[in-house]
Amino acid sequence: MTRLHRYGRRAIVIGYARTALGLSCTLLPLGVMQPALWVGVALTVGATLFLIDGARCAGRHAMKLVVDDAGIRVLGLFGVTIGWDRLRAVELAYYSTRRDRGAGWMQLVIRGPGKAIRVDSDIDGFDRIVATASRRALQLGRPFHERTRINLASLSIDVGGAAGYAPGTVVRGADGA
Amino acid sequence: MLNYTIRRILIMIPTLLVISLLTFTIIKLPPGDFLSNQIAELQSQGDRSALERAAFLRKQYGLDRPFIEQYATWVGIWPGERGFSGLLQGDWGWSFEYNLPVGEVVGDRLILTFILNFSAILFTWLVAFPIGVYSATRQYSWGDYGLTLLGYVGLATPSFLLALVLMYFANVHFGMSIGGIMDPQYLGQQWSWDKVASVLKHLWIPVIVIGTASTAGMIRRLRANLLDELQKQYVVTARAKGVPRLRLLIKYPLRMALNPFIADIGNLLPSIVSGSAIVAVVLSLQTAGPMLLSALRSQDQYLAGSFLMFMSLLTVFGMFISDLLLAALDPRIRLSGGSVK
Repeated sequence: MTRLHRYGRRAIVIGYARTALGLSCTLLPLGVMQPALWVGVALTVGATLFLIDGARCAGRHAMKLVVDDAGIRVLGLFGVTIGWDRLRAVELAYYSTRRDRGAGWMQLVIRGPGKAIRVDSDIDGFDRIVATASRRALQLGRPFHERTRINLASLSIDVGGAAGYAPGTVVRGADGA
Repeated sequence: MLNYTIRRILIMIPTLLVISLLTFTIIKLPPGDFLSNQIAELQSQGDRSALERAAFLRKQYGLDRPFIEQYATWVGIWPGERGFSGLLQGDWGWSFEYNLPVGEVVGDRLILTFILNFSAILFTWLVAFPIGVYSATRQYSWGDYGLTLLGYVGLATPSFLLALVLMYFANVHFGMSIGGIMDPQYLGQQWSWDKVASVLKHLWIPVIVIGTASTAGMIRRLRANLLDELQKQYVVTARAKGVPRLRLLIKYPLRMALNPFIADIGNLLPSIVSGSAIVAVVLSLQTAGPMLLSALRSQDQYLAGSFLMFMSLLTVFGMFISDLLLAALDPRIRLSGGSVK
C-alpha cells in the first residue's frame, strides 16, 4: 500500500509568514538604523537563519513523502530513499518554546545508512508515519532511545520499556490502524 | 533544531521590545527627572551657566518630547537630535549624576562585577558538585548527614552577616584592609599587575560570602535530583548487567540530574553582572550593584535604564541558550502537557 504525505497549507503559510516577519525584524534595522557593530553582527546572524528557514519552508512546500511497503522516500530535488530493510534508527523528539512544554511540535528522524529523513508533526498523517517507522524499527530489533520511547508513548505507541509510564499502552497495528 | 532556534529567536524580539518599554516606563514613573530636580536646585542658587547646560542636555536627550518618542529614541529605533543614537547604536546615553557617558561610568565596574560573580559561580560549582554527588551516592551515611547539616547552615546564614564576620576575621587575623575589592590606592587607576594582585587578594571574602548560600542550595538540589535518577529502573538494570558504578553514574543519572542546572543558565548570566548588590554595599565593593541602586534613587534614568536593559538582555539570551541546550539534550514530552501539533 502506498501513501503520499504533504505539509498542510496552514503550516506552509505560517512558515512563510515567520520568515517574512523575521527578515523584516532583522534586515530593516540593519539597513535603516545604523546599528552598533555587535548589534549588526547579531542581526546578520538572525537574518541568515531566517533566510535558511525560508529556503527550508520552500523545500517543504514542494516536498512529497511517500511511504510504502518497500520503504520511505522524499520526492523532489533533494530526494532521499530509505528502504525498511536498511533502517538504522528511528528518533522522535518533542520541542516546545514554552517552559511548561505545552503546545509544541514533534520531529521524526528516520535514519538509514549515511542518510536521514526528517519530518515535522505539521505534515499530514504524521501519526501514521511514526507508527509505521517505529513498527519497522521494532521488527528489525533497533534500539530506541529513552526519550523516543517516552515521546512514542505519548502517541499511544509502545515499543517497550518506557520507564515511568503506566502499563497497558496500546501497540498500534500496521500503518497506525 | 533549526526550526526550534528560529521560533525561539522570533519570541526573543517582541520579548526584548516589551522589556525595554517596561523598563523605560518604570524609570519614568516617578514624577520629574534628574534634570528637573537639578534645575530647581540651581534656580534657587541662581547659577545661570549650569542652567543653560541642563537645558542643553534636556533638549539633546529629548526630555521635553512625548514619552513614546523618548522611548523610541532611547532604544534607537527613532532618530533624535543626533540621528539614530540609542541602545541599538551602542549609545547607552548620558549619566546626569556622574556627568559622563553611561558606557564610561559602567565600564570598570562591569569588569569587576563580572570577575567577582564569575568567581563566585565557579566556587559554587566546584564545591557543590562533588559534595552533591557524594551525598547522593552515600545517602544516610555520616558524611551525608554532616554535609547536609553544613548545607542547611549555609542556607540559613544571611549573606550580609557572613560578610561582616569574614571582614572582621580578615582584618584581625590577616591584617587586610576592611571592605573594597582592591586596596584604596588602586581605585580609579589603570589596570596593572599590582592592581590585579590586589583584586585577587581581596576577592576571596566576597566570593565565599556570595558563594556560600548558592553552594548550599545547589548541593540540596543536586542531591535530590541525583537520588531521583539513581532509583530509576534503568539504573538498576544497568547495575544488574554489570556496568561499573562510576561509569554508570557519569554516563546517565548525572547527566539527567544536571537538567535543572542547565535550565538555570538564564538566571545565571544576569547574576554575573548584577548579583550580590546587598553584599557589595556591606563590603563597599566597587561593583555594578551599588551603582544601580544609587542611579535608581537619584533618577539617573539613562544609567539605570540602560543597565536594567543590559541585564534583561542577558536574561533573555541566557534563557535562549539554556532552552537550546535543554532541547538538544532532552527533547521529551510531558505526558500531562498540552497537544502535540
